[in-house]
Amino acid sequence: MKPEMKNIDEVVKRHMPSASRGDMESDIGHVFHQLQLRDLGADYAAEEHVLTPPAGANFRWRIGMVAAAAAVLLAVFIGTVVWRQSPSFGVVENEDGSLYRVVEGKAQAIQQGTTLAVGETVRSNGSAGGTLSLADGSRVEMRSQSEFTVERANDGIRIRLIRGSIIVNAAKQFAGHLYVQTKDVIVSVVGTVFLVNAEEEGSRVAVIEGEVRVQQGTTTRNLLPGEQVATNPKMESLAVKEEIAWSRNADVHVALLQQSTISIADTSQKPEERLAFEVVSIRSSRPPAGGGGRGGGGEPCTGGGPKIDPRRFAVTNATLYNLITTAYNLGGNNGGTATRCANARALGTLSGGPDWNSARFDIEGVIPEGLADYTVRTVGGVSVYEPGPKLQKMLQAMLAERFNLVMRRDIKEMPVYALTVAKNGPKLTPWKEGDPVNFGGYSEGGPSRDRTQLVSIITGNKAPIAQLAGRLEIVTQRPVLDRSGILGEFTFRLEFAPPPAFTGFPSLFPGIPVMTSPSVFKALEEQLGLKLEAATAPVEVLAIERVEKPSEN
Amino acid sequence: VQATVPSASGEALAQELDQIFREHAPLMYRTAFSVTGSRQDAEDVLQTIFLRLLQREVPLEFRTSPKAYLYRASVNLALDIVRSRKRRNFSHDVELLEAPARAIEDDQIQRCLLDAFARLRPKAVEILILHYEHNYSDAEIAKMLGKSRGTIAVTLYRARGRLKRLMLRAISSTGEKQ
Repeated sequence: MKPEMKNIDEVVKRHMPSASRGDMESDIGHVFHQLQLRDLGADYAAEEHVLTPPAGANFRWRIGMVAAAAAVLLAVFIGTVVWRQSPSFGVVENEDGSLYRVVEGKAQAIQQGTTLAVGETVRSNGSAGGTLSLADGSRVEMRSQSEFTVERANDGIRIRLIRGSIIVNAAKQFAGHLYVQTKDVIVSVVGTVFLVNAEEEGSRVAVIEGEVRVQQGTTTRNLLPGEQVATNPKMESLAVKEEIAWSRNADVHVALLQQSTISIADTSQKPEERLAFEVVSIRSSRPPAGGGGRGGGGEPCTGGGPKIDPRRFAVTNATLYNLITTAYNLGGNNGGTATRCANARALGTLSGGPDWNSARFDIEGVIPEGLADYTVRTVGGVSVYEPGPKLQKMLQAMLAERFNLVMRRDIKEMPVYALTVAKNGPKLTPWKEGDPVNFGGYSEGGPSRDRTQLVSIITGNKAPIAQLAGRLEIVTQRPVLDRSGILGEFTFRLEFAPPPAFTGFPSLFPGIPVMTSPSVFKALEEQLGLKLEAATAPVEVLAIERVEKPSEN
Repeated sequence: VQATVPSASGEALAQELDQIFREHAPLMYRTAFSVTGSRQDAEDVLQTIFLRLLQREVPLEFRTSPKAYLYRASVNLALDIVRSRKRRNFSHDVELLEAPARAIEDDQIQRCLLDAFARLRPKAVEILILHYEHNYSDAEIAKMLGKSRGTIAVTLYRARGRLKRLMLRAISSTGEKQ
């Protein structure tokens, strides 16, 4: 039967889809969360979202959050991709029957093929040690009577050498670093072969191939092949090839050492291989159009993410801190550039800086042909550019040359939280094929699922625990170390009371009260079976030692 | 129109968008829902538009009249979604098909209506949705879209006529198929 079409108005009004108020409020609330959660760096998990540090009475959108996915992914790469693909830290490649894992203080023998988890301690008690393959492709050869543990660092992997010697053949790190830390020295690399020795009286680092950065207290030094450094001058000094003589692969290492020394000399004669933009243009950002006089305003962590093509890197309205965040890949897996920048400053892992720290710059760099390492992801119809390590190096060089920036890496003993398993065990839902794949994130406030309260949420989809730890840093404003020992990827949603400063959104969600409990600490225990324990721990921090406002061109 | 311009500082824009979301999200959502008939599509429209703004893709029109820009963007994006789906021969709207309580005939008419919207010019749809869904008067539409009242009246008259013809044609076609 055909409808009566004489009165088109009546037909249209009757049949035009019209959202019910309840559906609309629910869906808008969902979008609201999503926009905050968009830090999510990428469709595979979350593109950028954006964590909003509990900074003020109103929730704030984090501009650049989308863009930040770039940096997010870098952090995620080290911290996540590598570990996601192989959530254990490594596998025993070969051993002489005397390798042990230390569980609750007791040594358990391990054999070839044994998989070791992040946080486990490995000990070699025999006469020949053993070799382990790490998840990222790095290999660690242990001397006898040595002991180390592997943990996640903010931007990579950290081998904590408790005693003895190891030779590390570090796989190329896609972003961030592999660290070896002893009680008095930190070695950071991006792909190289080197030895670290930890003794009572001090530590020694020797390089076989590549370049490593060695930090002892406030002193940092780069070592090239054949060079070595000891933290205690009383330590016996041996040539590098003698230091590595105990290795099963000593011959290979010595050959590599000789080859590397030559190749470094050759490389130094090829300036075109230095990672730097060909041309850099720096200008102060234009004042905002119609910006209501907010102009130079004091937000030191702001600016959109970069736009990159094979020959061009461009960023607009970026502050010095934001540039440093991108160049040094700060802030871990915590959202967009601005968010990670703000978080690094709040945590104290990025400190110092000039009084013009809210000045904004438009920067364009011409990338040498063939050296643009970046990825582009489309998130919600928006392109998110992620610079790779080469581009980061170029940015670092630009900051050093044009801003005369000098950074100092330190280790500070800081208050942290350790993320551990609660007494009744974890309540985590493993991610499975077909479940949503996105980063999730942290939203300071928005409707709960049943729309009865405004809550803070942390979500994760296909997320390792390290990602949850990253989100918790934003909420607690302290570094959160993953000490859960839990491997794998999970789907979770944690709902908890927003920070006291959060007052809700009366105009958007009228009449919906703000949740007052549980706290994030209690919610974590009740909902996910995890807990945060206060502790102190050495944390790597970056300090701006010197910087100057660049001249424009 | 889509020229990207430097706008307020990141923080200022963030605060501005926060306020704008609160003010205009319901209008945008209802608009997108009226054009697509789908809650999911309406969410996508809302989210995509704000993501673009957060990416600092802030068009000039947004600076001069945020409400008009957001409304137009919602209509255009919603139409894009519907047209794209039609090109791919997707089901018009899963939610409509899943509504058992709704009379089949009503569903068919609604489908014809949405198909007709997709065939109209976006400017016509803008005015029709304001008129039918948001109950705006001609004067209010004129003020919001920056047109004269006479222009709106004429456009609305023509759009209704074309809508009626398209619907009659679609309904006849549906009837013949049955």
